[in-house]
Amino acid sequence: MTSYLLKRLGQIFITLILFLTLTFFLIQAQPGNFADAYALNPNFPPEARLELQEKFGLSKPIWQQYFIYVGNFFRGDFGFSFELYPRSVVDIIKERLPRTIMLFVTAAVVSFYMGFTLGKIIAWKRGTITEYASTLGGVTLYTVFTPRFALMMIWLFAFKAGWFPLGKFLDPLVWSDAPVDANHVFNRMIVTGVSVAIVLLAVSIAAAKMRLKSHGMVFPAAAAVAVGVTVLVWSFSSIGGLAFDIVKHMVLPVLTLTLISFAGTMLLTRNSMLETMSEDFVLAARAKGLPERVIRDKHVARNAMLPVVTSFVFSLAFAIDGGVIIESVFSWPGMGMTLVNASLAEDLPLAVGAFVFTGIFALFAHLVADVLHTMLDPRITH
Amino acid sequence: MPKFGRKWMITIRSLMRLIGLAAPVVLVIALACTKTVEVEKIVEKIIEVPGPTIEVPGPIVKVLVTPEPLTPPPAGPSIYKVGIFQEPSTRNYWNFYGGPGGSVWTGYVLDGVATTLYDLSDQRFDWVPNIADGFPTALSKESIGGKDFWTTEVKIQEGVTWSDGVDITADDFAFVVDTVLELELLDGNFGSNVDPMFLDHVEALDSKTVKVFFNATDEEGNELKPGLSVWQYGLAFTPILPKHYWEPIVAQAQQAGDDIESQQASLFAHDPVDEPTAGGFVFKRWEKGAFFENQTDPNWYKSGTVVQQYENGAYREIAPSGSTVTYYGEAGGPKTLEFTIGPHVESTLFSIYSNQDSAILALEKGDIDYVFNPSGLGLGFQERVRSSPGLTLVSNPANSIRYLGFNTRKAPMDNTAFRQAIATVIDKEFVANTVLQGSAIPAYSMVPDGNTFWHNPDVPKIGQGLDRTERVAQAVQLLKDAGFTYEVEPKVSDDGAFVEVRGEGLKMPNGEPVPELKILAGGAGYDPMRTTFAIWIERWLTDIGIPVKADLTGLNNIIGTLFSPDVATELDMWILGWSLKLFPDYLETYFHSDNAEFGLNWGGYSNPAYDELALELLTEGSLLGARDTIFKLQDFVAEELPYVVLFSPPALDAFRAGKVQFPYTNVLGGLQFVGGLQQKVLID
Repeated sequence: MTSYLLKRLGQIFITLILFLTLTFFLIQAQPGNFADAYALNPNFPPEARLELQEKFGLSKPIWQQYFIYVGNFFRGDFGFSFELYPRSVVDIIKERLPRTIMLFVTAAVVSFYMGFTLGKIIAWKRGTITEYASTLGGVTLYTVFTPRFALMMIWLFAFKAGWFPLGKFLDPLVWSDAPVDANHVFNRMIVTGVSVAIVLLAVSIAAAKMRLKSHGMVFPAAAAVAVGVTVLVWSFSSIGGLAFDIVKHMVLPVLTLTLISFAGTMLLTRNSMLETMSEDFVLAARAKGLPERVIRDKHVARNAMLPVVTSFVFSLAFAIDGGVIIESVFSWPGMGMTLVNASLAEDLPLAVGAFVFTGIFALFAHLVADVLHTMLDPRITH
Repeated sequence: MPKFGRKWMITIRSLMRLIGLAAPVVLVIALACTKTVEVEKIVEKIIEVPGPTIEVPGPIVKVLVTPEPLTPPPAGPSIYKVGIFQEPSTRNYWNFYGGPGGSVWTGYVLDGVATTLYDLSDQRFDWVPNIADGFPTALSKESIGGKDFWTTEVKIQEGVTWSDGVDITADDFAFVVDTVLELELLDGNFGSNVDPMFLDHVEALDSKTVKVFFNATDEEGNELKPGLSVWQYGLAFTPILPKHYWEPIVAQAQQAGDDIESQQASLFAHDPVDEPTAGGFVFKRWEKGAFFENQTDPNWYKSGTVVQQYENGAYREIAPSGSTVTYYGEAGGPKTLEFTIGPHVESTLFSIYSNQDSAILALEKGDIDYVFNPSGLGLGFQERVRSSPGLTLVSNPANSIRYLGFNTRKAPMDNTAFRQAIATVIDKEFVANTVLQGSAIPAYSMVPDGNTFWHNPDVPKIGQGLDRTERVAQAVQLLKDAGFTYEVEPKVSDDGAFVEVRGEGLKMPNGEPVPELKILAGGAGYDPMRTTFAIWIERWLTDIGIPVKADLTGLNNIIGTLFSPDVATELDMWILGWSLKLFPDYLETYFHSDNAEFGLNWGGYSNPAYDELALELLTEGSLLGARDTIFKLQDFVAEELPYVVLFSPPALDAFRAGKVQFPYTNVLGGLQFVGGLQQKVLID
């Protein structure tokens, strides 16, 4: 396993270099001159232009610029934003990444859970009204025009019903006298989420290893306890109210994202389940007299999980890219809007920085997916 | 496990899942129902203002409205909630006003930071004292150390203070001017206040007296005298910042490096924590990506002052102490405006939205009271605002223009007849009224017609009122008269609806074919109105045989080309816009030949007669004289056409009338031109 990991890391490093190279030459291939875009941008005072020219070697030949660019990347130096000078690209990404991770990872998890559960059910109830209704509903939502649907959700649930806030990630009136900034709370929420996920994973693995008779109940019980403890701890925290304000603002965008994306996981799960259901071991399980629920959840679903989990891991990775439409409609300024606005405004350093971050996360996701494959399917050896 | 037990466990498991899923929703709903806002009462400060001493120019822009009654500030909590679409760039006023942080959005949130010696009055834009005690002394000539100067003195009112209680003094003004000159902060807006060609230096004679020294001769010994543009509408409007706060920071910046650029960068990078202000508000909080909030300065020297404007031109301020100052004649007769200066709110809260759509929806729902729309309001949004109960939409003439510029260094754009032919075929009325359905106002002069005092209504209006057949015929004739030749002349259909034969083989007077030309213009995502004009102009020019392509590109690409060292050869034509100052000295900035190499005369227009007039404008000290010169300059531009002025977008403001009450809404440039009236708005 270790040698496999090292080999994969080596491959990922090479892919990263190729990705950086492609990004660099794509920028160079744009209409206009990359060097001029840096050097002549009027937002930049002269000293910043000189600094950039030196830092990026803009007066040097392209191949030298390329090596300087790669070197700067490994030093974590993406330069300054044109639009938000003198803020650095890394500083801007650090500000916006937590918001995107919080919203889109939550949506990805909820969407996966809903899609996977429904996928299992409709595969098992093939040909019933449940399958038709779920498939039709899911596919309709999956193919709906996202901006229109998101606006409709806002209009219905926020504007007309008044149940949720009308976009944004916080209520200024709540935050006006807050002792900390929003990123402080976002970062802690992410840490909490990751901690809960790790605990649940550990509990789940432990329960499986211990072969408890009631191990099917362990995960929901652990989840309920974890959620309860989390809510309790945050309630007593001085920033609990602020976190709840963020959660309140997340509900509608998460719901929207879930509704438009769960069908992908649902159909993938369904197809994978149907393939697995025709395997001999399923027949054997039935012959043993195992309950249908056990066959579905422990035998079929688990074996059908591989492609679904891969898809989920990639959706997590691309979550950092955000969804520009959702971010824009819900006034949730994250990485998606950063990337698109930077591209529209020809803020090249910021666009390149946001793009490269997405690439790095995607490569990391590949590695995680490979490791998970090994964990989920003992037949896979390296 | 027994059957009953398994069922029981399944039930429990389902129940727990349900609880797990429902708990966050219940929590969210519970939280949504709990929200309280605490507010302090507004504290008014009594200011004493000495009696007036006056002798100055009359009203600049005449905007008559029915006076609106004064309404007392409401009791209880009040937050002026406004929507903006872009993050402010900086909190540092030097960076905003003199550096790269000068976005319009930053201007809105920093509206309550600085003060000035003089200011323009509300709505009518009379030139009135702000912290100055009356008007300045007349310019007088003095000789010091063998050098001649024009000097003037300004007294500063007693009792005007920064938000931290420290007196605003003559030293504050001198400090800002010295800093601008020493750190060469002249590339940004400070450049329109401080002109080193005219200004020698500023002295603080005592804590309340400013003395300004203007050069009486230029470097070549020619006589100079500062005109309205340089003094009254220039230096007198310089933002004043607190010396006691900024002096050590500027000193530190001056140590930041040997070159001026490093020193500027150091100053711009400073985060002004606890900076004292003098504009009615102090900074409260900036949550990046979400909101920016300023809270009321309870010590603001202007709070509680009643402003009255009279139909006869008089302007009066009544301080809470009862002391009164009156300018421009005796106060009497019908009033055109009356209001009390606040702020009448606890704070101004700028909510940042990703786009106009979200902000308008928030306005409709009542989350915000007013939306800034510096780029205009599309027809769809206008319709939504009009149909929403409680919302009001007001339209005002904007003090801005959109134009087609020519690189006059390069053939054939260097030929006036060629530019006139282009102006002739552009049917501004058709695009503005028919295609854009009245969203744009066709324009012919560099000074928008809303700027009534300075606008010349009689400039040559090339092409106005012609039909397509006449336009094409006149344009072709202009070209042929100037020596251009056609292989195939354009021909309009008999009904005049379209050009059935396009012009071909157009050659310049030197016999060379007209080269393929390019019009740089922003894409529809930036400004659909300009894009629409670009597309139609491309079509009409192609019709008469001018080979041209509209290059719809990013703003940075256009700006990059205009500032490029190769601008003389790379640029053909471009479409951009200007948000303008009230005093049109920009006619010098944009078209004087001295500004062609490093300034804003990107098209390189050069005409000695124009240069002479433009210089006269800078030295003209009387209103009527300046007006006469400005009228002539407008004539020049409309005839010579370094720019073809295309249109002026109306300034549209949407607000919740039941919640906010403005002392006036009828004003040049709209409410956004006056910062949303943050210091004057009332909240119900």
